[in-house]
Amino acid sequence: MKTEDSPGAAAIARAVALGEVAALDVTRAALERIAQGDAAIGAFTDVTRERALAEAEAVDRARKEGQALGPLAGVPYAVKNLYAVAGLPTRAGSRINAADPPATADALLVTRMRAAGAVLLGALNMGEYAYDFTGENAHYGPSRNPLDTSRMTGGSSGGSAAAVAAGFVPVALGSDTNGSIRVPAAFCGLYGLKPTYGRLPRTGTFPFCDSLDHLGPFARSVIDLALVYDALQGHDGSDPVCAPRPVERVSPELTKGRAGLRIAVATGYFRTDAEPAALSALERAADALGATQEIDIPRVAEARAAAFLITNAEGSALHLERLRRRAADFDPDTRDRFIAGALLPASWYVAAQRFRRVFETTMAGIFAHTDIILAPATPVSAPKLGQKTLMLGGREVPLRANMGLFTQPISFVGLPVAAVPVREGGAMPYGVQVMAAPWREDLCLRVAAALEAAGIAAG
Amino acid sequence: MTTDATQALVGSTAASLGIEIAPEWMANVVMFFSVARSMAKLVEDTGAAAASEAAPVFTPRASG
Repeated sequence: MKTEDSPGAAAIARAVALGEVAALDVTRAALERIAQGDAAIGAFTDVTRERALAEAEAVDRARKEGQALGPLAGVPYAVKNLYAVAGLPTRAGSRINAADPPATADALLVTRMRAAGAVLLGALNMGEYAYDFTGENAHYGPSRNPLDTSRMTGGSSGGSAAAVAAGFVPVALGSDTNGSIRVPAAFCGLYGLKPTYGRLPRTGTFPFCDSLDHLGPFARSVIDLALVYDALQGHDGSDPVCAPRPVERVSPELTKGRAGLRIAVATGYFRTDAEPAALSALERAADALGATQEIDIPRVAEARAAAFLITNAEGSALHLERLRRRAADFDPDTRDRFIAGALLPASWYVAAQRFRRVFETTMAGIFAHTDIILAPATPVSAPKLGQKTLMLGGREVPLRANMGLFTQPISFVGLPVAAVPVREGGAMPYGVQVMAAPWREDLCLRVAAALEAAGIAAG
Repeated sequence: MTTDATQALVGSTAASLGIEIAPEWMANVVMFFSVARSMAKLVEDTGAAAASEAAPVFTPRASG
């Protein structure tokens, strides 16, 4: 499957609105791509064919009746299977939850996508309970990287990245607690957005770690990413973390480019263990933006450590009853970490939460004189499926624990980050994180658009 | 803390929580607990954490 055969969201919505193509035809074509190609990729755990056809027919009917169409009219998409989808069990990547009764209502962001005219094609594979950076799953098989199916997609939103990179859908929704959008976006050559913590309501999604859980989109272009993000925004009081902020649309901002922005490149921690090609990718992005300022953020290793502890403790507490009753039914790659996390002294967790406030203050000071910080998304490109260790800085280290080395410290304090793919020749892509101060997703996406226009994603 | 001491701690704490650790899982659980301990040391060694408020803020919601 070539993604050139699969149009983007903006193009589809425009063509559907003009009556150049029927949403039903777009949907049938996407369903056919999934039927033909997903056995080799493993992106979908559930295909909602009948629902998709009904939603597409509703869009076509609305157009014929002269009703105003939403900004994503007729755009096929799919969601990580921790989003509730009416009629499906919310698997969250697990075998245990697959036996739960089907959801009776959609997650709020699915409702918003539908209101925008998008057409849901199904639920997507993921690492069990989102405790994953690989995209592998003992129950449902791995999601495979469409750029090289012997390699990982990254995780935990592996199916979301695979579905978009394979051209099955132009956009997908995922979640990111420690890097689960940014890592797979980097490995699969996609754009991803982890908005500010508290920007998008998590209502109707299966949690992992309440202190750090974010939702966000994947796409093959910045405009598609922005269109979806704009459709998802809006406060919802059902999620106590969701901030009461107005919708701040970013799609009209993209053409402003990087003019006037103070852009710095992260050094120190973010260079120590990155392989040379990951740093070359970062350098290309910095050069494309004319960014010469550098910044060595203090205590990043401690921030990553604190994020690790909060995730381990909260995630394990969430699953305590399952660990008591059904530990053998977990994916072995998550089970032992969850069990360990259930045993942590409370003082470790509280210290980590306190350090979160310290690090937030540090970052606020930096963003007082910087608008954008660039950093690598991962230390390496997509590893081989089944790989258990990595060479970092000349040392062999466990792969799963280290894929989030560069993403964890940033989500720890909830900063908005756009993941931007960088390709060089025929090699596997790398990702660059474009981060800004809280609530400045507009700046992240302006810079992402500038990088896209500079051609660094295409190689 | 030795591996044996860590394993004893892990085993007794799991038992007190009602979690049964199969013998073939134990080495991994001990390894992950040890990783968490090294992470906690990094955080505690900053000294900064003890002087700060925790990040979570509880905001009571109005009824009705």
